[in-house]
Parts: sequence; C-alpha cells; structure tokens
Amino acid sequence: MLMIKTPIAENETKQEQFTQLYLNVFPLVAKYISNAGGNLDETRDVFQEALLVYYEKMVLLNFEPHTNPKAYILGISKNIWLKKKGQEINTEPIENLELSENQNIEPASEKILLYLQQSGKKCMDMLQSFYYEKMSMANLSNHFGFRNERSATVQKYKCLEKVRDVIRKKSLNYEDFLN
Amino acid sequence: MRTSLIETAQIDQLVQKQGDPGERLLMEARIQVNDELSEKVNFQVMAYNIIHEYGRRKLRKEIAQIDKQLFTSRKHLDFRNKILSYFIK
Repeated sequence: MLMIKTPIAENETKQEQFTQLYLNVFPLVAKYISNAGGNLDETRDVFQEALLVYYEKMVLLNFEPHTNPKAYILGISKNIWLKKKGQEINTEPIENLELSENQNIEPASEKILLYLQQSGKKCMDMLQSFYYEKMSMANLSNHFGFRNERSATVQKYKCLEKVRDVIRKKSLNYEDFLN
Repeated sequence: MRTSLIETAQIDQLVQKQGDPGERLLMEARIQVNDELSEKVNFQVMAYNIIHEYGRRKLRKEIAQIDKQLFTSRKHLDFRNKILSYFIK
C-alpha cells in the first residue's frame, strides 16, 4: 500500500500514487457510503476530500499516521461523511481533520485568486509548487527551466512580491478583505 | 538580489520559520517599530493563503481527472462495475 511521505510533486509517479489509492481505497468508501444510503456522487465528493486531507497531512505537515494509509483514508472518509450528515463520530480520532474540508475563502480573496489565475498563472504555478507541493528548489529550477537554483530562488521571490503587491492593491478595493 | 527582494526573503524566512533564528529575531524587532514593514508581512501572509488555495484547487482538479479516467477507461472496467454494483438497489 502506498504511503505518501515525500513531496508528491518530486515523484514522477504522483498520478500513479493517487490512482493506486483510488483503486485500493475507493471501493471500501463506496461500500460504506452506499450502506449508509449515499450515492456515487456523494462518495466521490467525500473520497476526493479525504485524499486532499491525506495529501496535506503527509506533505504539508509531515504527519505520520499510526495506521496504514488504507485504514487512515477510510477513517477520514467516514468522518467527512458523518460530518456532512450532521453526525458526530467519537470512536476514531482522525487528528485535525479540519485541515482541509471545504474551507471557503473570503469573496475578496476569491476575486484576487481569480485575477492571479488569469494574469499571473506562471508565478502562481511556481509558488504553489514550492509552498504547496513542497518541491525542492533543485527540482523547481529544473521543472520551470531555470539555469540554476539561484535564478529560480530570485524568481520565486519576485513572484511572491508580485502576488503580495496584487493583494495589497486589490485589497484597497475590496472592503471585506481585511475584515 | 535587489533590496526589496532581500526583504521579501527575510519575511519569508520569518513566516516559514526557516533560516537563522538570530536574524528572525532581528526581523521581528524591526516589524515592531516599522508599520510599513508590518503591513508587508500581513500581505505576504495573505499571499501564502492564496497560494495554498491555488495549490489545493489544482490538486482537486488532478484528483477529479483520475476519477474520470478510472470510470471511463476500458482498462479499469472491473473497477467501475464493482463500484456501480454497490449503488444498484
């Protein structure tokens, strides 16, 4: 069974890892949710959310579950499902589940995000590779075609500065941003 | 690096808790007495949140694409049929 421990982005089989998790764990979640009266679309939503929580815990927080990934993702899925149905679960503590779960961002942040997706995609792709996927500077440099790590590092900070300045300028127009 | 980029890097190291602890402490002290710098830190923290959300949405799309492949490719027909059988009442 797969154990995502290192930054997935550094691994060329990232897609394969998720595919294996899908093939191995999704049937268990589907069976559980169908028995609980849910449908396939609900199962997809729950499972995909669970994969996201799992990924963020492994990659962003370097968390190591006490159980195997299969049982762990099934546990996260059960928690998400019960939460969606307004039920509490007390038996299986899935630590800090709130990490992901549909945290909607503020409307003003949404507007800024949309703006950056359109006008600063290259920068955003680079920044998310470093800060979200935890790609090393060596890999990032290679992936985005820089001459060396130093050039990549300088560009990373230029991008970060650009995003920060966009937020500052846009926030002046969006009252709810700073509230 | 130009001065503004060095400052961005220093804020980065402070927020990400990386680099020399002594320099981070010095940076913290500078922020206490410099409103403009303090504002930059706040906006940079917001930038990290937006980058995080961007990454999360990108990953969501990738996972959804895997779902689509598994439910449409002939290679995974058994998987698809197995899943669908759970929902046929």
